[in-house]
Amino acid sequence: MADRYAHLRASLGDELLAKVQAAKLLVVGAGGIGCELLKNLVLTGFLNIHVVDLDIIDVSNLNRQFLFRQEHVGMSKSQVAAAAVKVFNPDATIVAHHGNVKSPEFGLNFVAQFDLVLNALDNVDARRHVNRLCLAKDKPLIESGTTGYLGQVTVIRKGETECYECQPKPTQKSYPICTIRSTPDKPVHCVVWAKELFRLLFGRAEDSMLYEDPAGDEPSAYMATVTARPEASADAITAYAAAVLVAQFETEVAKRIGMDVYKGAKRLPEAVAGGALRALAAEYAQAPSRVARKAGWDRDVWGVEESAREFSACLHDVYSSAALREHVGSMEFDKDDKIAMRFVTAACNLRSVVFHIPLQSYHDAKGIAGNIIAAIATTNAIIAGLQVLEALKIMRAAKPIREACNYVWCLREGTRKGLLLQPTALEPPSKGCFVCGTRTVDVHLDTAALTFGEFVSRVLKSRLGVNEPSVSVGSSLIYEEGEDAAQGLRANLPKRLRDLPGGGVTDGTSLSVEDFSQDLDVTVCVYHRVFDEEEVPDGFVVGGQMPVASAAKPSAEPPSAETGTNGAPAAAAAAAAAAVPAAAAAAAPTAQPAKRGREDGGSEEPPSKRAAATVATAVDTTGGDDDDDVICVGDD
Amino acid sequence: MAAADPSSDALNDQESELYDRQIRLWGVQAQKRMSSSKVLYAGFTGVCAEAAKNLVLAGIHATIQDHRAATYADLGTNFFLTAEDVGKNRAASCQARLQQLNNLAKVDAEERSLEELEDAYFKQFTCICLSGAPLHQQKRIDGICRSAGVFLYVVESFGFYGYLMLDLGQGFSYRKELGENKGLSDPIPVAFPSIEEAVGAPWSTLKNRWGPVSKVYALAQLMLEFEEKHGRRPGASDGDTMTSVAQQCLKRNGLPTDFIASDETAVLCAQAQVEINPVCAVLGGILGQEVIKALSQKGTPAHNVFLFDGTTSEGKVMLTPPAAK
Ligand SMILES: [Zn+2]
Repeated sequence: MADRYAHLRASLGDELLAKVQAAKLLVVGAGGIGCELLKNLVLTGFLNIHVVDLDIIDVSNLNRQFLFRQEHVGMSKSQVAAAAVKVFNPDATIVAHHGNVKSPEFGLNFVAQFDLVLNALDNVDARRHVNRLCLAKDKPLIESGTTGYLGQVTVIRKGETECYECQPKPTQKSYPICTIRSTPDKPVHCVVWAKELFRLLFGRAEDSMLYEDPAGDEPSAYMATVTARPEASADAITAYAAAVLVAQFETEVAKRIGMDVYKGAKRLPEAVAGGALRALAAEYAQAPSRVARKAGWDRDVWGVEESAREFSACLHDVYSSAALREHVGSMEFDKDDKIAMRFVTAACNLRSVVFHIPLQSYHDAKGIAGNIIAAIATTNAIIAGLQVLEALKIMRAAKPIREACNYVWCLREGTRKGLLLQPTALEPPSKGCFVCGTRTVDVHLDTAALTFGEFVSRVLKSRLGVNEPSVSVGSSLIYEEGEDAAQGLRANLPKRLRDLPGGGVTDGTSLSVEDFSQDLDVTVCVYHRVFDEEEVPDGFVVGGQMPVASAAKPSAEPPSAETGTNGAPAAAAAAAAAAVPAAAAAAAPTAQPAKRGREDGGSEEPPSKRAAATVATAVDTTGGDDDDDVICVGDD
Repeated sequence: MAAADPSSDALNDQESELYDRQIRLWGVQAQKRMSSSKVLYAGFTGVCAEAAKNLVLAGIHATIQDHRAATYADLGTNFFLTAEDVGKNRAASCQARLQQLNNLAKVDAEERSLEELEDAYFKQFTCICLSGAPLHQQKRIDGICRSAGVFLYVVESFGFYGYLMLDLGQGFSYRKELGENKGLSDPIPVAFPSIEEAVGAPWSTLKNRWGPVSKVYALAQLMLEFEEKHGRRPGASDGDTMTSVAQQCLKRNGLPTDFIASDETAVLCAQAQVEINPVCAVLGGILGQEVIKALSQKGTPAHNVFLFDGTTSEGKVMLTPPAAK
């Protein structure tokens, strides 16, 4: 028969093809993996697909998100992708939703209409949410992720397999304030500092880590300098630039040295001479800046002189433009904004000179500042192809999903057996999982210091992925969100945990946390503990999910028995992160860009499922680049 | 704006912006090499369409060669074709749509058949991806590639199976990535056997400590052997003929005649001329990855055969003929 399905009939058989054509699918994400996946699905005969994505198309997507062209930049990914794949198979119906999968319109009732859900996401938060929706509605979920040359595909089914959250995910890396402010020793510390300086100068200054209350005990002299607003004349801006440069890179450094902050340090920081900074500030050149005039400028590494000139040039660009000036005080750092990124590169390098840390090019500083993860078409194509093969196994329904489907790894260097694509068995659900198992999670924190509001936003929402929490202690409701939520309970947010009504939350208190939007019901057991800020910058530890950075260095007192079992994979994750650069890079939101793949694959027997899982989860990120490509978890 | 300067080591702003996410993976020098390379896709099958998509996006110039007319069956895997193209030349129909993926990479079409193209034609390319060609054409083009230093990739996707054979020549070398901030290894030489040598190795010598010769490899070779004998790839009604080809082949290769059962040869016949998209996507992705490795000379290349089984999702590299002990 001469039609576009003849090859599928020959290969899949009539019965399976009929199931494929009748199935209704949800694809979450229309980015790197999503574009490939949508194409693969319609060519494989899937005719009824909804796709959700909140992103708009950026020029840096075009090297791999092949459904998009230059003229689509700025348009909705889901809408452009849906129209493009419709051309590949005019029989298909693709419904595009431009929106956040976490919003209520894509909740439990929405998910209930599908036979199968395929994730093509770029962040842990959305993955967790879709995982919970699929568990609640008992829908099979095909999860995917890529970073650079590495990728993976897995299948999740309630009661049969591990869910997305059965293995702890590494958490977003935080840096102790004092490392950033006083004792940086890595390029990333200087980039973070430079972004904070950007916020101090151009954004909401009081939110900056470098902000000091002018009415406080000993405000630094630099506060008065940086909060001044120069007139629009070139001379005034130059004077301002010179004053800020001197305050940050001479006076403040000298002051801290004088305060013996660096007693015992291997090498003292060195202030930059103020006279030189003043002279360089006057040598600025306005946009296009002097450095951006030749090809490859973004790979050059600016030393003290170029950095100081650029620093001054950025201030001139902002303050001599009426349009930009107006936004001083409310700007947000954006890695794609050239002025912001030039400023951060210049400030980072001046800071690095002071602390004897290697300097960065604009390109590399951008990778660190924007947590950009390398992404290529080939890995996405492979992973999306593997997802469709898993979808066919689920549609065939010859065996239970855990037997029929696989966890598949895409590796950079083959295993000893020569495997570049390595299928492994799916694991059963983890009994201790707080989402699909015990529904209990331990949290260790300082009940006297943390406010309930911080607990809700940082522990419940950010770390545990709860979308709209309702919180009760015993039988009394102390907080709720969502439609018809009792607003009066918001009065509890500013209170310290131990000051909450009903005797407060103290050591050993159990909180009942419900989220109707995810059909989630979890008991959170709170244990009082005071952490060292250097070791646990977040100020809290969840279950066994020790922060990756400190996991290798176990704390003196294990918080609970459960930490013992879950702590092991966390430590392994830290080791894996160290061994796999791409993984380490992606795990930390402000880490180095992933430059290469798996380095040890060639010498390794197929990684055991468990070891492999920790490698993969180490690559997982909670809040990566704006656009995509994070493993286990991946290319938007 | 920065001016484009082909002689410079740097990328211009447009390249920098468009290729940002991949340059962070393989670096400016590799991108420069890729942007000055040209790949011939000889036989624009579904798997070649996937590979071409990946590599044109990455900035590598392309020539797509095909003398055949597009059929309805092609619409299921070659997404550059639409129903209006059925009956028209495959290469010409796809050229403009492939070009749209990246205006920094040049895409040409070639409608003459492999037989019509003289040896000298093939020497202008950096790499050739050859798909749907009979074994004697594979050997002919391989001979040209080896003498001219062109990298050859023979790729076939049939049903749920995928087959990729590489010949990067006798003088190839690459550098291994040693990990973040540790740079690259010294060049590691790796000599590739010719296609003739590779397919000539008896299957009984291809078993290793993990098992006998890969079934996907054996099935691919059976398909090519059938084609050499009968002048065409097997079809659904060729079951009996294929069984006898298989018996002879297994005997000659020193394997028991039940190594491949008759229902397996029947499946092979039914699917030898059938491509399905997910297998094309995976194999085209691996092929793209291998071309990028060879052009950037970074990362261990598949030496010299990659086999994919879409029923298990296993994708594996094997060496034929095996390394001398
Ligand atoms: Zn679970």
